Amino acid sequence: MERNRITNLILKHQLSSLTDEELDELMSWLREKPENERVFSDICNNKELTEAFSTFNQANPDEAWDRVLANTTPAATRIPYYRHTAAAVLVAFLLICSGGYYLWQKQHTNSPTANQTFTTLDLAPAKTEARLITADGAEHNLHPAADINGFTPLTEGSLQYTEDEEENTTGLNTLITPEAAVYTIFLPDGTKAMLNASSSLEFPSKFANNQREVKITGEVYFEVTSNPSRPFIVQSGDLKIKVLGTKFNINAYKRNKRIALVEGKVQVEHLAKSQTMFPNDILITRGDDLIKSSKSIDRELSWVDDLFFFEKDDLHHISEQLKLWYGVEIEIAPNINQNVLYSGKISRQAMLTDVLDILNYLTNLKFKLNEKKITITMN
Amino acid sequence: MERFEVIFKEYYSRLVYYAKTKVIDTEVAEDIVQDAFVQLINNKSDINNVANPIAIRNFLYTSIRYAVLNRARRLKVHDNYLTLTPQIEIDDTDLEQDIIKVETYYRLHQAINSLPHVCQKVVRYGYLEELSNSEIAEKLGIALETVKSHKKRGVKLLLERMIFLISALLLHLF
Repeated sequence: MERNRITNLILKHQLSSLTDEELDELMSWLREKPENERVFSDICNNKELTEAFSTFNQANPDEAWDRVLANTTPAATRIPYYRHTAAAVLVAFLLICSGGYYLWQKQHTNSPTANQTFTTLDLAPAKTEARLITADGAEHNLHPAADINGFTPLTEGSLQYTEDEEENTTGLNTLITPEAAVYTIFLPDGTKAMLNASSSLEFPSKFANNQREVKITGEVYFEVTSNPSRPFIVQSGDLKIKVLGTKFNINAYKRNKRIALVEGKVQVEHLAKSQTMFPNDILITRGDDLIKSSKSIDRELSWVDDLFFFEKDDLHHISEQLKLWYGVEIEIAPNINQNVLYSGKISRQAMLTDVLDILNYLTNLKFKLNEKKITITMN
Repeated sequence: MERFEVIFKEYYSRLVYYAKTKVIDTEVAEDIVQDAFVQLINNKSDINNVANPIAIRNFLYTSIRYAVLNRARRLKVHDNYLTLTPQIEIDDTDLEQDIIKVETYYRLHQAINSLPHVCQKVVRYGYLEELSNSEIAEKLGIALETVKSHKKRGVKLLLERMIFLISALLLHLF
């Protein structure tokens, strides 16, 4: 008998919905050979089922695929070192300079390796690192073997928090990421919060019955588990976002905060203003106001996908990203025209010198790393 | 490459679970599945030309099975695999039964995940954790009658969705 048919029959049996004919069909399959009976009893045994479900839940195909890709880069064996690293980290870098510089012209006037002299150690991109301050005031460094009451480290860089059902604790926990690090936490209601570098998430030991309230600084991406009777509220200064169940990003590094909505619907309150957001909307706080941004949502969410994503961004913005991600200082020579805008994507897994190689190669500027400082000068 | 990606993402969790039933450790299972795909891609496997999803599925399970066997041979005795699964030569019957098992779990998981929120909880508690109706009612703070109606609806939806999935697969067969 066809396997799918058997699967179907067994599932129907589990749900006590077999017709008499189907029962006969299943019974005759069971009698075919002893192995069939073994499978059937295994499936009816919920212990194995639980194991299977938790494996399905934990598997992360997107992340796994990235790892597969990393090992199948066709360039890996054939391209010499400089080009190889550049090719591996360069997802796609389209250069749009308002000044009208063309990439191919640069290629012809300038050998890419000619002016590369690195006198300093390379810097790796951000790690998965965070500190946790629990309700009792204790501070913990998070590592895979950390043993903290209620908190279970999952895979590297993520943590599951479980509420104590018995106790009525009232304290607040705070998760803090340092510069150049990210961390993900799963809250007891199933909500996922991913913290970008230099960010924090404050959450109660136990959510209230009528709402789930958290506070953030920096940048956090949320996937909120839906629960209409217990809205999820994110606060950051004067900004308040009320959600029922949704995916969204909030960037609160600066005074002008940005919210990008991926899925669902949220209500944003900022001082006296209030606005409902729909998928792909980006809202920015400006003074007392809330305004809509025309930039693409991919740009807001790129950090979640582990990419640097520039879209008509100036050098200042690019520098801020490098600073945040590699924990470096940046000095821009005063004679550089900062009105030039750049667009493109670079993998955030790249070593800093690889990223600088690409920037050197594709712009008319010179990025040089010395100790932990990058100087940008005219070429 | 795009097609590899689609296939990989669709089958990844199932294959990891299948590998895990043979090697115990989740990380090892994940490595095995990822390595198997790296091999398929690097060898420019002709999976790209196979249109029949059943054939692809069988091919993938078979690949993982070989990867597991090869690993077991490589590691000789120094591994959980041999101490916990003394029988090294898995025959075809085993593969057949294993596929049925994994696919059944996977399909049930998919179907349950697609249920509406409360309904899903009732189904999980009732059929997976085997709680009684009154226990579920207490746990979720809803009336006993509501539990019963959710259960009924859940089963109905599950059946509809599973049958849909299965007929979708069968369409490709004929």
